[in-house]
Amino acid sequence: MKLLSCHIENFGTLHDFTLELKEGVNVICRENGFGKSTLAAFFRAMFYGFEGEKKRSLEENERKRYKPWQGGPYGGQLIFSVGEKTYCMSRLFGEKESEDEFELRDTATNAISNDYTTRIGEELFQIDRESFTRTLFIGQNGCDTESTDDINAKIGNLTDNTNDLNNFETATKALTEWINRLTPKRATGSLSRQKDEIASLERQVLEIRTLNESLEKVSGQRKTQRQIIAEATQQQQTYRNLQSRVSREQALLEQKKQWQRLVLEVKESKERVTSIRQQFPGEVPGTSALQEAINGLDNLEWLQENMDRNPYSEEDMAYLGELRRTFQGEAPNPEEIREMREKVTRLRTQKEAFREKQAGKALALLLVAMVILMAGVLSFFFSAVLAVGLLVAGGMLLLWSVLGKKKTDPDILAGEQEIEDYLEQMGMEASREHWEETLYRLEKKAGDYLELTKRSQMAKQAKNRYLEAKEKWDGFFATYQLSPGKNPQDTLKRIGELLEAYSSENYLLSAREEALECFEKETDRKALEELNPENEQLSPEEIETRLKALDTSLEEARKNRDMADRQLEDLSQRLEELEEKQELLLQKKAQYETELQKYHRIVKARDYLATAKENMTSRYSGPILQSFQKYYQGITGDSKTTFHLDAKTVLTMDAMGRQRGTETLSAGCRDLVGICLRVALVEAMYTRETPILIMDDPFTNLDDERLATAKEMLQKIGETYQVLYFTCSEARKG
Amino acid sequence: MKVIHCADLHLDSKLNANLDKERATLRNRELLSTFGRMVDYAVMNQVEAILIAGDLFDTKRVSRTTGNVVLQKISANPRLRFYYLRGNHDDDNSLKELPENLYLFEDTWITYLEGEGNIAISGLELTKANSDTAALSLVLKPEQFNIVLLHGQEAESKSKEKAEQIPLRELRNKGIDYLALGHVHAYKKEKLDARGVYCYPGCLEGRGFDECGEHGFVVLDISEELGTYTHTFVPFAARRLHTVQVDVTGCMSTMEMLQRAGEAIRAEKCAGEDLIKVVLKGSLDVTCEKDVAFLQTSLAEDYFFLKLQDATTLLVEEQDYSLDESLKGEFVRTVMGDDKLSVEEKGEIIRYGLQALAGEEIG
Repeated sequence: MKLLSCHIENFGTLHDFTLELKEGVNVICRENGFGKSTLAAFFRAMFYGFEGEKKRSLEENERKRYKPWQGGPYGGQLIFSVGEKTYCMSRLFGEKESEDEFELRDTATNAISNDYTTRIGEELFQIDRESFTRTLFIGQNGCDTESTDDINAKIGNLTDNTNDLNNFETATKALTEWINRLTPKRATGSLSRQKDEIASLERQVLEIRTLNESLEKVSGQRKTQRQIIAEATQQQQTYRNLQSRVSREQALLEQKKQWQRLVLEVKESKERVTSIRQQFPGEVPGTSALQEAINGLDNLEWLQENMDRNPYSEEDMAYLGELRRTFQGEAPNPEEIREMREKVTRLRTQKEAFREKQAGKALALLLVAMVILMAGVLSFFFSAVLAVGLLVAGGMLLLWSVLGKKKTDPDILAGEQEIEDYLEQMGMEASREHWEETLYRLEKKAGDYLELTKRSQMAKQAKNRYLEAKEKWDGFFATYQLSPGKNPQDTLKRIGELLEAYSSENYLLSAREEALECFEKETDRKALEELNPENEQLSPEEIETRLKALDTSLEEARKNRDMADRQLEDLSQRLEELEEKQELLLQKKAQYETELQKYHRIVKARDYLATAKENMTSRYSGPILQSFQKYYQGITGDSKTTFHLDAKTVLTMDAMGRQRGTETLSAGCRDLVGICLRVALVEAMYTRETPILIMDDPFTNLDDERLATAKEMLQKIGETYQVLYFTCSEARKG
Repeated sequence: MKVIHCADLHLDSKLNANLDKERATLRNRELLSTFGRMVDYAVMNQVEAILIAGDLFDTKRVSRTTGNVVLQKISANPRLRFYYLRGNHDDDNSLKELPENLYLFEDTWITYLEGEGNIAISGLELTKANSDTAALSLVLKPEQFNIVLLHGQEAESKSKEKAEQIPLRELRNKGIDYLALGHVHAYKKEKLDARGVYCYPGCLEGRGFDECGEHGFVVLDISEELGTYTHTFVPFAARRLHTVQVDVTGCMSTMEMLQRAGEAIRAEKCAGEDLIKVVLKGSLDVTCEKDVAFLQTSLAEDYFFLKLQDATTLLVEEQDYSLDESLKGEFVRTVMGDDKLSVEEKGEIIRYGLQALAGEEIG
């Protein structure tokens, strides 16, 4: 390729600048500040565009750096030939890469050419911008060089398939990037980060053991509490059952006691009934019978009293017998007697009247008699004989007066006869004068007779009734084979009491028997009979106490269990988190191992690639070294210094007994070595095609002698290559 | 009488080996829900008892929700009897207040009678202390239909190291009609002796890719009069798990691999709700283009969960590089010439190097 001309519209300090170029060395000598570095940068920008697009600093960002001060679009044209073709390349730079304009025309036809693209630098020179910079573009203080991938690619360009070699550096860089990305050796490497992460996770999961121990412990506690709860619950149930059984047994026991009491009561009642019953040798009298007996006793008493009230003594009986005999079985009618008596009275009256008539007569007699009698009485005081005589006389007179034949009225006589007959008939013998008396007596007797007869009848009747009642009353005792005793009333009272007791006992017995029957009917007698409470059985109170104690234990155990549950939950949650981390750790470790393996293999790949590349480059280090020494000796005339070039195109030289780097050389020598090595590399790289070399005042560090030599070398290089040589010094002009 | 035999429900599993937290939570709820569905199935199908042969729970720390759901599901169906034999994952602390229709077992033989008393359900929770004498101490009445519950790994004879072992030899000729086991997560039914069989119903739901295929429970329909029964495995899992092997040998691009994987998954008849593990196997050329992440994303689109495992090996055709004078040729030759590297390492290293040289994403 050869550059024919260039025109800069605007680029940094350059404005409307045109440069014609020839073959060989084109020396462009301009004063300092002319902009030769800018011009060199222009060439580079025309072929490769700008670098450092994203850099902020003006120094690093070429787009900003070379943007013309006056503003507006900047760029220019390059006319160059490749082979037989000549092209005109135009570039206009905008604010950013996308605003850049690129145009390539074939000057022969002025038509747009597609032979190259915006990447024309790489396409044309088969090297990238870096390699271009390092080889073809030799700037001030830029003489030091090392082979780059493209340089080596060019060196190894012995086959058609050069892409692999061309990309060695890219490949190494990519592999290195991967290695750096993965490296376990630096903090930025993912393996290092993973290692840290794994270490962190390992530290964290260490807690799992403690947690598991805690879990085991708490789980054990929980299990213990659950066992306590289970046992306590079981005990509680046992005690409840016992309580229930005891309660049931207590109830049964109570029932049994009640039963036994009922049985005893029945038995007692029966005994009492029997005992009472035994008081009655015969049948047990009924209450009515007893009442009858009691009433009978009262009746007897009354009848006794009645008998007493109707006395009828032996005298009465004798008297009545006498009277019966007297009246011969027929008692006179008192009316009749009264009539007789009235008759007597009437007769007496009649008689009186008659007597009065006679009385006078008699009275006198009587009175005389009386006087005589009285005289006779009185005569006792004087003479008993007189007295007696008087009394006899008087008596006789009196008797006479009384008994002297008297003249009687017939009616009276008849009447008297009747009376006399009557009296006789009545068995009464009485004198007339006693008729009335007799009649009275008769009347009395008749009354007595009647009364006695009545009384006799009543007494008899009372007695009969008494006897009858007595018999009946006695019959009560006889019937029931009881003895009335000395005091029947007491006896009856006692019997009554007995009967009452008997009745009530019977009633009670009946009630008790009924209660017992009812009880036995409603109660499981067998269960009661078989009931045999354990002797050492706990009391309900003791059971209750124990149940309460169990309740307390249960509550405590449940509290502990719940606490253990909560602890377990917390621990489990934590453990779960840690187990997740453990799982993550395993994954991380596996990932780490995989990536580590990948890392090692990528490292090995890079190493093997480097080895392969070194193997290849070592094949060309000899020619490069020869070419270098040719130029170096040509410039310096130094044929003594022995140089060495390793596979990495690092140049060393023998000095003071050992190989030393070129950094020990002076700046000028170092520049020369660099230029020579570049040219040697270019020579090795471009065996079929001659590239363009751009030199931006590279000889500033050379002394005059070496400068002259360098100029010669420049001319010599110019024979092979088109060289753009920029300098600000006329002295360094070629 | 119908009886369900299930085991290894592993409720409250973490499930985070494959699934992310969200899907693990969802899947865990599904495990719980499947237990509930099984109980509903039992009610709908006149099943009278459910035998749970261990590992109802996955963890000794059962979440409150799971505990409550299980207990409420049990207590809500009082006519259904649950016989729960705790397994090595279960804890006797897991359930708090036990419903009346939940019957547990202990470390000594416990027998419950079902039906008219002619179906005996015996169980024992194996421990280190009782494992030696477990089989010997089992006494069954030959006239009964004997179901025996145990949780452990079947073994011909007892090993001293492990408690959870079912010594089949010692359980033979004991009068067992049906040995209801748990512990093994895949369904298995085998003859025990002339009279009985032993059966693992497997887990109710597959949880990991070591539990692929159909999962469910066993329904026994026992004739109490005759002492005979029918045995039916009922697939019941909400989702199935599949491991699909895809041979991608010869594929040179991700799209080709995608196509082969898609065909393999379709051939497996995987459903959208299923969990799938795709294993890429075979040899791939070291220069092939393979984007595992893209494959994973593309394949996973249609399924509840899809996991891609790249088990391919890289094939390096050394002769292709023997005359290659390029850096690539030099690189391949250099790697292949190192005898210290394994074939796998060589493949990986070469792949990384070539990817780097080709400017491709390294991975």
